[in-house]
Amino acid sequence: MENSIITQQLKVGYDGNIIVPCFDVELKKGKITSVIGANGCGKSTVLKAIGRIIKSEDGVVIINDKDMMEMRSNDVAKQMAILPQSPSAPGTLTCQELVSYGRFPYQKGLGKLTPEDKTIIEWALSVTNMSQFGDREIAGLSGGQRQRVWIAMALAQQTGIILLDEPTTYLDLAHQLEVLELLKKLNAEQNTTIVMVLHDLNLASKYSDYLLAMKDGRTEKYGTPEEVMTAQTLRTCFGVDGSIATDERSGKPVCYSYELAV
Amino acid sequence: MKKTRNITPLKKGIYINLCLAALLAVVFIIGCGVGRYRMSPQQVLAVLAGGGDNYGRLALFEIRLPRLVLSVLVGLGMGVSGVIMQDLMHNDLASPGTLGVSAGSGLFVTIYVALIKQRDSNPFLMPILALAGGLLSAGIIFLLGMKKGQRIQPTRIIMTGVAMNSAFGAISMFFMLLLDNTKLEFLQRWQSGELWGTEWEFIAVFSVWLVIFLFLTYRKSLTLNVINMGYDVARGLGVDVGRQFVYMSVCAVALSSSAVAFGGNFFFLGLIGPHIARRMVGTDARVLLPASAIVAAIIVLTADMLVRGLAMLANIPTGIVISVISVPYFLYLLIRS
Amino acid sequence: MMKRQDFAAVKKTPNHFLSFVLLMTVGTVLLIGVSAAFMLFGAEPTGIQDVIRGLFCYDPDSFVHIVVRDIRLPRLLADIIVGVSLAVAGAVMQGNTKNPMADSGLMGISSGSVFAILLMMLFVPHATRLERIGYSFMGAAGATLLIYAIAMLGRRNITSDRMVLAGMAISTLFGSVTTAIMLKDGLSAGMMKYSAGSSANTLWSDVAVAAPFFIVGFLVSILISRMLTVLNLGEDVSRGLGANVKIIKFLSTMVVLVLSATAVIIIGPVGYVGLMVPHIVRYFVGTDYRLILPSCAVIGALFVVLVDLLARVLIAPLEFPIGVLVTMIGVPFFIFISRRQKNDTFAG
Repeated sequence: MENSIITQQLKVGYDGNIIVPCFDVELKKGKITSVIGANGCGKSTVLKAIGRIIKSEDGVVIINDKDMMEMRSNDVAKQMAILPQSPSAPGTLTCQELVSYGRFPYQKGLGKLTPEDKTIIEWALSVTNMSQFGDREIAGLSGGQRQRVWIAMALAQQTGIILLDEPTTYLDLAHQLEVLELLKKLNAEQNTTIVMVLHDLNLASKYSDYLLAMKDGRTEKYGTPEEVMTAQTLRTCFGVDGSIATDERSGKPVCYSYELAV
Repeated sequence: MKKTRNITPLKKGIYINLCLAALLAVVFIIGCGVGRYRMSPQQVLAVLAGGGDNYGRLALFEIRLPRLVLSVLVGLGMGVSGVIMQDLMHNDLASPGTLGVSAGSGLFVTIYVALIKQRDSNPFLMPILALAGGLLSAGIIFLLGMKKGQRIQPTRIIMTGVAMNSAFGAISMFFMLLLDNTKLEFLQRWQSGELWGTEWEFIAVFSVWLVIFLFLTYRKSLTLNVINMGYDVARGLGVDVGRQFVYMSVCAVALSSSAVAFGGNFFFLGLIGPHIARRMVGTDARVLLPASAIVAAIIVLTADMLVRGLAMLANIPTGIVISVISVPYFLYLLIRS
Repeated sequence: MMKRQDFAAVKKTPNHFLSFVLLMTVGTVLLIGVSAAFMLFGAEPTGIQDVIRGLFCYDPDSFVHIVVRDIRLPRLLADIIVGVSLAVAGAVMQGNTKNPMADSGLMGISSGSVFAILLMMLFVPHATRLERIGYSFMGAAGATLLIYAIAMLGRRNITSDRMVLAGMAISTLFGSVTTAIMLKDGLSAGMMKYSAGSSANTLWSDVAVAAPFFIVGFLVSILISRMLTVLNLGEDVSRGLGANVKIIKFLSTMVVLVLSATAVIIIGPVGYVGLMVPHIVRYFVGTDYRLILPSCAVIGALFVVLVDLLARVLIAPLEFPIGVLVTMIGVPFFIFISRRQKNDTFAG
């Protein structure tokens, strides 16, 4: 079981518009994979289809060697968590309450929390460094803290796979790094498979084991950052001429200058 | 640095609910004493316990008790229905009234009164038609409010609801112009929210109906919580949003239509009940549903007490008092949010 | 490349102007045609000759002449006044609240008028027709104050769905108090006309009293139409362009008030005309109020006369209240607009 997620001939669209015509990919278990690409290339669409937030029109998604379409949605939620782009919840919820909803797939009836649930919730809060905010209402949190609580909710689902749609949107530089460091730590300590859509190429390159560059709903290039972050990918996927160098700190490729390709 | 709080929001909500229930009981007993024949709470309790004089017993059991019980039932139905709709739509302005569901019931009742009603008609025909009208309008609103192949869009559904509201209103108006004065007045009273179904047989049917749907709703309160966090998050947590949406909507319509049928059209009740309750207990449906039900019941009881107690308001439908009180609150909500 | 853009920009204005001329011509021709039909058809059969004689060689003893000149003609004029007033008021209101769903009926302004008229019937039963307009105006002013206060007090720019809900709440408030008073004082039957909306039984004196207010309101709207166009660009931009935003807002609000109050006094509360007509007109002539307002006047009049004609002939000898019929046409339109709007936001 080397792959966590496999898609076969996935076909997705909104309102009759096919955005992703036929998508095949095998995402490695226990690795961080970032999906990159220009606006409208279908990266979020693919992520949502894998996370069954939108129904795919055709094709297969295999999660941990099982066909996702044949599993109960509840059981999928025990294997794979998905965090939509800028999720919103009633602002009066406390962090603890929000994280406790991560236990929803395991609960029955009116959802009384078992001691085990409580341990997991506390663990999720402490991993994300949010323990001291447990009683705070989420409306009063900063953007970075809020994103961490949502990740804590996903953690409380106790899944081997976490999908995230642009987890760093609207965050400043430090908070972007904070969130990505957290994901990296999870990956290192829990061996969690992480698949995310990222806009920032350099951050994607720095924090990911694999990059998946998309164009027009298809895979343009899939491989390690060194393989994908090339001038050619930048040109085909984003229409820019970029200069690539190796970052001295991380040893990963960075794009340090770019302009519109003529 | 770990701070533990002994009272979780859930526990706090439960305590507030208990307090609200106590308040409801007090208002109920005071309400029993209000009217042309005034009784003190002690007298009311004495009569309820089996004592008291004949006159008090007559006033209480024959006239007031059915009306008060009906008030409470209407409040329960509307309060819960409003919470469901607001949570499903992620919009604090959704309610049976604003979404046009009540207006659908209203249209069917109007047509019934205008064309069918005879002195010996089956008394249950009207509630059944109100329910059918409510379900039909909810169906139309959801169908028109959703675009094919697209996902549920709350704002669109609410706007469609507002539009259907005025369409149903216009058709009702057409039928009302055909009516003689007695029927016209009955309909005007009913549309403004008059507690009319005060026969014990109505109340019995109504309460059984309510209990069934309150149970079906409460069972799913956790799901409602998760849906309230956004459809995408809910899907990620394993909720079949489409199916639960339909299930909860049917519950909401069943609750509100029955309240409309037996009680009359209480336009803003399903909107402000949930609001006030949410301020007290927060958004957790497990405590919000009962709190909203009780708050709405207290509102109806209080408004009805005003109508029965103040000479100035005598003979005015209870719903009008509720509207006049709640519209400013509603406008305040619009400004604030 | 620049040159081509310039060319396109120059070319756009005549295009709108052309469609404006076309719309006005076609609208006027149709209005004349429908008005002729309006005079011809009805419960009492009349021929073309009867109509012409009734209008120009009036014989006070002829029943047909009375029908033509004293029943149908004032009603036709009333419909035209109402159509122009509602459509122009709607267009102006949409401009100065920056809300595409604004409409004097939907925003509860008419319900304020109805409420004031009811109070008048109760306390000043022998009020003159002029006083009646005064009361209607005050009621409209009260409701307008409320709706504008809500639009302005809101922390952010209030969204159109909230605005519609606010209007609905205000209608409900006035409506329920009106019902309460009607029920208490047994005025139900007499007030139903004002609740349903109908131009039947319009007298010459009604038209005569309403006409001056209508004419002044309409003229002022045309006078400020250039400033309204600028206001459409946003308050900050229009200040930058040197416009006096306060005065435009005040004048345009007064126009809305006067025109809606006049319409209510003649016909009762009729919604949706002010919503539909400006939307249709904008589709053809764009965003310039100098073109929008005259087109709204013609198309609004055409629409109301046409609907009233239908209201009279569809189920003759009975009559639909025009308010009911307009609503039945307006609702699908409203749903259509609100659907399209949502799409625009999504694309953006």
